[in-house]
Amino acid sequence: MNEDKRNVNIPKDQFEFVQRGEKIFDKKFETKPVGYFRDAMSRFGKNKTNMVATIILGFIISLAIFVPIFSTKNYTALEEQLSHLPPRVPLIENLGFMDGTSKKVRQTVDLETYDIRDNTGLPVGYEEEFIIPDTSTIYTQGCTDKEKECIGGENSLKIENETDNVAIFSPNFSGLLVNSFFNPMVEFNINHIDEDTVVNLYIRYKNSDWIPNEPYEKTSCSGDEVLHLGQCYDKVVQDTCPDGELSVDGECVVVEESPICKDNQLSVDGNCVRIPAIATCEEDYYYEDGECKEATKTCPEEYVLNGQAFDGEECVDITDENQLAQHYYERIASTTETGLLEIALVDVLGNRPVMFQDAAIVIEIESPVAHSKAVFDSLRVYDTRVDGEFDYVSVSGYNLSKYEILSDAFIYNNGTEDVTVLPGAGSYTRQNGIYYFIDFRYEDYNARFADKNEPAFAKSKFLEAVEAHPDVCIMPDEELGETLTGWEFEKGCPVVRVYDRTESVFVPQTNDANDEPLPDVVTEEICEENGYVYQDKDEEQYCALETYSYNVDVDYAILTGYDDIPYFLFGTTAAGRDLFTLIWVATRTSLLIGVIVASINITVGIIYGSISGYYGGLVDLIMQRFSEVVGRVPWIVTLSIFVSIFGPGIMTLIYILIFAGWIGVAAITRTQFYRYKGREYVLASRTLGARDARLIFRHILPNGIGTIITSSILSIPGVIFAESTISYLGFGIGHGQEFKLFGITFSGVSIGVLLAEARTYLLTKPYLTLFPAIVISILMITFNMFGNALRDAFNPSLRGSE
Amino acid sequence: MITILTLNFTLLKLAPEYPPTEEEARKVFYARQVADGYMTIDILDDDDGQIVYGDYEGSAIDLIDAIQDNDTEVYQRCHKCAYFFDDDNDAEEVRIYRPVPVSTQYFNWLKNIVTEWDWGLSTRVAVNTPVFDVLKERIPVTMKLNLIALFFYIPIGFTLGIIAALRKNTLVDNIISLGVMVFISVPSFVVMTMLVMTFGYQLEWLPTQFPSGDIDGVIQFTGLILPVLGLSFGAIAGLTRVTRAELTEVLTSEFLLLARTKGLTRGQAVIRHAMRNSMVPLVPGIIFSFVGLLSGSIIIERIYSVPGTGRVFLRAMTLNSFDYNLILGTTAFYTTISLFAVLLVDLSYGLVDPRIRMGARR
Repeated sequence: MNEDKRNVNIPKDQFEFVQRGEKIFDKKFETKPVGYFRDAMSRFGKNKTNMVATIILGFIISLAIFVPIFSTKNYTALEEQLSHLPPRVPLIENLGFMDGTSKKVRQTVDLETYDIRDNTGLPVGYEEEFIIPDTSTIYTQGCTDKEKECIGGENSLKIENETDNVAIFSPNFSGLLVNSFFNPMVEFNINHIDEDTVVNLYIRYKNSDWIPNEPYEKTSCSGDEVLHLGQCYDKVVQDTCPDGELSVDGECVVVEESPICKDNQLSVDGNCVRIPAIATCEEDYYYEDGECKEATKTCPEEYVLNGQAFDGEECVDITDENQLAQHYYERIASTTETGLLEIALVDVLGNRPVMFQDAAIVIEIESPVAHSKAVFDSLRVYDTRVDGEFDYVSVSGYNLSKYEILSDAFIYNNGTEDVTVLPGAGSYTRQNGIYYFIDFRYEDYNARFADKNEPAFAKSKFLEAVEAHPDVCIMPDEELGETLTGWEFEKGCPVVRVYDRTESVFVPQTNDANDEPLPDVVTEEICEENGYVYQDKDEEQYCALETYSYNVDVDYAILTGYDDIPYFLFGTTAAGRDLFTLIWVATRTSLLIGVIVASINITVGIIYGSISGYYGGLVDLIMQRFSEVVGRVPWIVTLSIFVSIFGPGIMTLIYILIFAGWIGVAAITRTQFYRYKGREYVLASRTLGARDARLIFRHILPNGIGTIITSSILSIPGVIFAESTISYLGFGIGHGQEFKLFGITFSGVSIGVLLAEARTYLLTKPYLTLFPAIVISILMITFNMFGNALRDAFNPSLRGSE
Repeated sequence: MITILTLNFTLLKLAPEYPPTEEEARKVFYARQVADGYMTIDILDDDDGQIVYGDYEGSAIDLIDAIQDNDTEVYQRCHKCAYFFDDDNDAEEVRIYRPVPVSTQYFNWLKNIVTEWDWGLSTRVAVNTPVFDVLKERIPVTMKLNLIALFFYIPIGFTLGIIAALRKNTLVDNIISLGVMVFISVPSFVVMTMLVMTFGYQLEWLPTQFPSGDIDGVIQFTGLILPVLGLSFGAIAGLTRVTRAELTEVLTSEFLLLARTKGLTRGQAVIRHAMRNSMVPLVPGIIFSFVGLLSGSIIIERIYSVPGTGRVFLRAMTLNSFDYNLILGTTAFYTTISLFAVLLVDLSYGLVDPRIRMGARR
């Protein structure tokens, strides 16, 4: 009624026909008709942001395809020499970053090079010439670690509850060499002693045959004599005789050529005499079987070294009960005052030459007050050798901290009676030590690719390097008298010069070159066929592999296959692989898995959704319940089941991703089917006798396929997301795995793997994390934007509801 | 839920067994398996050097060979079983533990859970500790972290979403949309790694690892910042996006125009009318996102060394030393929470939208 009233008041002459005299249906369209696809594309192109994203995505995909193909850098082999090189980019390197240098933080200072006056020093393990000048700063940090680098400081020994003493002992005689000390003297620097606390110093030694039971007659010798086993001997006579003469018992005698005498004997005054030990050997050597041998010697585990001064050593079986030594303790001093405690051991050990093989210094504190403690600065052991030489070993900070708490009771003789000291309990801690650290910038590339001396360059590596460059690596011509020793190769050869070659070592072989067992009886021919050397030793014939190494200078740039110092744009990984190439290989793998999984998901989803949507009713109900159950399984359950049954790997990864991945596609397909299956043209087709399959695939599916495909493309970034996450957790693919597809071998690297490996170096090598993270972020962002843009373009009504 | 657990239990039984590695612990483990009804025990006496087992007769040492030789009947009978010689002498007694059929195992397992709340023993992570005890210590840590993240991200997500919707197609909206795009795309482990790298290692503002329980309060608090941030970024982005989309839709509808016409201020109209209506799809989204948050926290816990359930799950999943009982327990925990969330979502529809009441569906 209201509408009628409104219209009543408008006068007739106000009305005007829009198209009087014209027939609109005769007119041509002003614009050209636009197809569905072209319309979508034009809408797609209008959104500038999405276009940029699409271009970046295309760029990333083409990089992922082409970089691994054209890369000249190493991205597969393990090359230790190239590990952890920082990024280096041409042109940008001139700006002062990504220039192949890296900042090294908290490196230990080599204390021998440390100069306290101007606070300069060099780090351990780096070469001085490649440290960029004026970039290094040295700083200190307090420490309480029992580490060698933690220098200085004191050590605090504290008694625990319920005991009244605690003792520590040196692991060896303070690191002193066997045979090197005579009449040692101990100087003990005590920083602090609590009240009522006594510090006792003991020496512990072992009874073995170097301290005979009968007393020595002499206790001191004159200046030019040496005390040895209680007797005085002439001092060691050095081999200072003229040619043709030999020092025997301190005198030079003429050596006569005599055919009668054996090798290690010589003819003196017509008699064959064994070459005397002391006279011909230098000081730290002893005589045995005709030659001077070094005095320090190691024995098998169940043996101990039992030495006698300047008189050779032998290994004594400690399982032999007679030889099994017992520990003896002697108290040499005690004090209740801080300061310097000096004790000469001369009187205690009766001025005998002491072999401190198993000797130890024992420090005990005792106090009636609980938690009493003493703090020790340092300890020095002097050698008061008769012949005037004077050595000392300083035991400070770190070495003193290596003393261990003594947990056995021990007995010592205080001059009148045996006293038993029961073991106490306590703690021994380090305090006020100092670390010296240095921060500096380092030219990694120059350092790594400089000519470097390799003292033990294996034969196989040498031959490989030389044979790889036959033009420039010309081996010396032995016929012309040239030898490999001292040989310099031409420029361009990975080996610059050869200094030396080690002795050959022959390793017996049981298998031939093809890993088949060799016959039991071998002949020279068989050995040579397999590249082995025939050996006939100790009545045994075998084939052996000859190995030796060279002492050479190596040009590492050429050896690793680069003409000049290479540019690793993103640096290299721990295994020496080029991170730049590796990232694109990883992206390729991720994309490939994304595409594979998405296509499987689409196939399965479309089939499932079609059946479910087309037939409807009970079929639909059952299928819906099934997909609901599968969809509700948390992904960690899926993960645990597949990983524990199949083990981690690429197939497991794909199974996990498609386990619940098809449900989304199936749901969309089902919706599309519900939308179109009741349309008239379907009904018409059905009336004409079309079968179900024809209806599904010819009439319904093509109508809904646009939506389905768009949503499938949108699911690819999700798949990549899940893939990298699972790989990051270590259940997906990993290095060393490979998989083949269409004849191309893909390496098992994905961004997730790269990031998982970089986790260890988060602090020191941030670029290992940064670059893969940036690439995967850009990939995901652009992929999502591309997907959204595609969806908007095909379905404008959804615009903005992202 | 039962379906999922059944599936999980059955399938895990197909995988190879990984009992504890130490001899003593293994004995305890097998004795417990028998007590719980997953295995039977055959004790064979070796009085006169002869034992009879199935159709096998011979000495105890040879029996072991026969078990390992897959042609014999004993092998068939003793597939996947474990055997012990009695310790102190030369095998006078052999104990053979044989698994009972999986179906029987399953019902015994259900019975143990229902009647005694016994989830079995952990075999590798914490040897011979009840699984529930292992989880009991860790569930609070994980739940605390996730709940803090939940209460942290909801207000931020809402606020950003409302701002973006009200200022649609302005600079603010574009910035927020771009941020949403970035954070929704970047995987959470990348975000977390970058956060730890920046704030933990480079700037040294925050701890690089989750502080252990006995450290004082300030560090405890700072230790929570990074994992909560790492968990929240993706969730904030998701929530902002959905809020913006829903609110935009509601803001254009007629009833809001009506609300303005009858004299409400813009603020009143948005909060009382628009928000209430856009809540309908938002609340289920939040509940589901909490489930996502929880499973996402597995990765965060690994990166930040948080002693939570996720980390224990990953340790139980160590290759070739799987700890099945613990895996089952952990997955049961996650499954329960996600299914509980589904229930909560169904109930929440009624709460948020009075039009959908359970009875009113007819």
